[in-house]
Amino acid sequence: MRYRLGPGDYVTGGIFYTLLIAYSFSTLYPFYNILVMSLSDGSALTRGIVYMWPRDFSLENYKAVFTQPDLVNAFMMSVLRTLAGAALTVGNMCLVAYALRRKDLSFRKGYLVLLTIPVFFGGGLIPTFLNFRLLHLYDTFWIYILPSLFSYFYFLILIAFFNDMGESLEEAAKIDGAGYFMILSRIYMPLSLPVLAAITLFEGVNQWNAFFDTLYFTSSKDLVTLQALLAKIITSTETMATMQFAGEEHRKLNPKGVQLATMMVATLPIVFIYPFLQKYFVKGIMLGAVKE
Amino acid sequence: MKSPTPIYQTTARTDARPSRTRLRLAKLGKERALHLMVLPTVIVLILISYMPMYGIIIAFMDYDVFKGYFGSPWASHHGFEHFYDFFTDPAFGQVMRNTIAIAVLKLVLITPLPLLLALILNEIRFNPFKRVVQTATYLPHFISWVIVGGLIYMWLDPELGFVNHMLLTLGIAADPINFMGESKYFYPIVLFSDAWKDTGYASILYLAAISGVNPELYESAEIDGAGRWRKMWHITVPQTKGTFVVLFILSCAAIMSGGGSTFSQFYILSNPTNNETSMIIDLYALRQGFEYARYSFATAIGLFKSVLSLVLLLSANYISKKWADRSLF
Repeated sequence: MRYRLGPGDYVTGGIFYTLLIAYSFSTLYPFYNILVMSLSDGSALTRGIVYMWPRDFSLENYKAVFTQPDLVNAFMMSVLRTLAGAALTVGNMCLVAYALRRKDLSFRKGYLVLLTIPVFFGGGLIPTFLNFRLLHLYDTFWIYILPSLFSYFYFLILIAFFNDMGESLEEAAKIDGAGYFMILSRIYMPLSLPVLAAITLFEGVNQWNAFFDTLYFTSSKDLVTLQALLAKIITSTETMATMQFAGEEHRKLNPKGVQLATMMVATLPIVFIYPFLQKYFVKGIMLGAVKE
Repeated sequence: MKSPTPIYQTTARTDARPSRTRLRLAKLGKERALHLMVLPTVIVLILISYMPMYGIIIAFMDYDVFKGYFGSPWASHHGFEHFYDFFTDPAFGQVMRNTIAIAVLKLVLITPLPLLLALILNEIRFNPFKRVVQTATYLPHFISWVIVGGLIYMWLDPELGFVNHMLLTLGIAADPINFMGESKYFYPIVLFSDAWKDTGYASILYLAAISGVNPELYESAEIDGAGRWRKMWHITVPQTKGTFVVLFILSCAAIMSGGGSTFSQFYILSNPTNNETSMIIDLYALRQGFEYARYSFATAIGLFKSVLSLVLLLSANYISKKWADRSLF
């Protein structure tokens, strides 16, 4: 006898819906909470808890963020490394994935071994640090770019996708006299936009969120990023550091308020871009993963 | 006098056919653009990933920054001095206990969650709702632990945080609790925040696997009278067992090695007051290396941890091959 929906189903259905709504709410509310807290007057924050609406609406925290030179510099540096890093990484990944996709390339096995070993084995933190110093990369902008130029994860996804596109496109182009670089840029890349968008999003987010490399592989203030600045403040136990955060002119501001505004600035780009690209990256992952 | 040409040699002589090396060189010539494409990656990998591997050698030395790799003396006990130091260090027990405890807790409690979420989501027919839920729950994964950690500190703050505020107004607690300042609250905080942050995103792969299941299986089960739970237990779960096992193995390795997420999380959330439970092996090595400049010692710890993770990865892989017929290699 065919199964029919019974009352029990509606109950479980209801439970599922409730659970999902609760979980979704819990992932969205915190960011709303930072927003209203950061839009509150600093002294109001100490007087009571802010839940739904700003208490004593004020833009003073944001004014501090955008006028404090340290914070502005950090923001610019974050933007710079995100754009440069994402672009260069995606570009390089296209090159490698396209080149290594054909099984008939000379030394292909050798290349693959070279690419695979670092996934499982690495030098460790101190040797990496010492190596950066040796190469004079310590405290340079390149420290943000070079280590992430190749990622095995993106490699697998891209290669799977390129191979899915089939050989006929490439054969036809070769007959027309196109060189490999042209085939890659005019044919393969335009046709892989969903996957490229997914990888760009991932790498962009990784670059934007990175803080450890700034903290341990750089020393000058010019290279400080937004996340690193926040990390320093949050993990520091001295109140002096948090006081200085808001800057001299803003000593009357609640440093927590300024910290919240900074956190908002550090989170907003992701929150904005993310929904639009979400459909791309889900498709990208599914394409790559289902092929496994 | 020339030697007689053997009767079977009827074709032209061999030097009219190019030699094998010639052919290979010609092929390389045609492929040169492709090799050029791989070149940047090769250079970067050698410089950034392979060169430090040589540096591991300092774990067996008494590394001196001024003497470098070739001038530093070898450590005593045939180079194993630092390993002995680590094993006999009073902090060793605590560090290992913390690392293993959190690894086990995460493996047992956290890794099944994305699967559960995927199963529940799969039961929802109303697509717009499904999409909203997915968009919402994937979001925290993309926010850095710096932000999330900062939020946690704020919410759990004894004076300003809403958690204490609620506890006090609801009468559950008499005094505000300094959550981030006491070791005993650390693990629940870590587990909750990790589940909150990554469950949504981790469920994508499971959803992909579930959507790959043949719908005819469900159809025929329904005709035979199977309800929601029967279908889930007898069809969905068995069909996705492979994916779960592979992901489980990967989590084993990642968590034990203090993989990216765990490390960042602990880095931000641990502070001197909750050290007793928050000091994991990676953090310990970090402090020893960067704050006390004990480079060799820290490298030795890192090497020990790498070896341990590798062993764990291979064991998990072997066990799953025996029990579930699936493995990573």
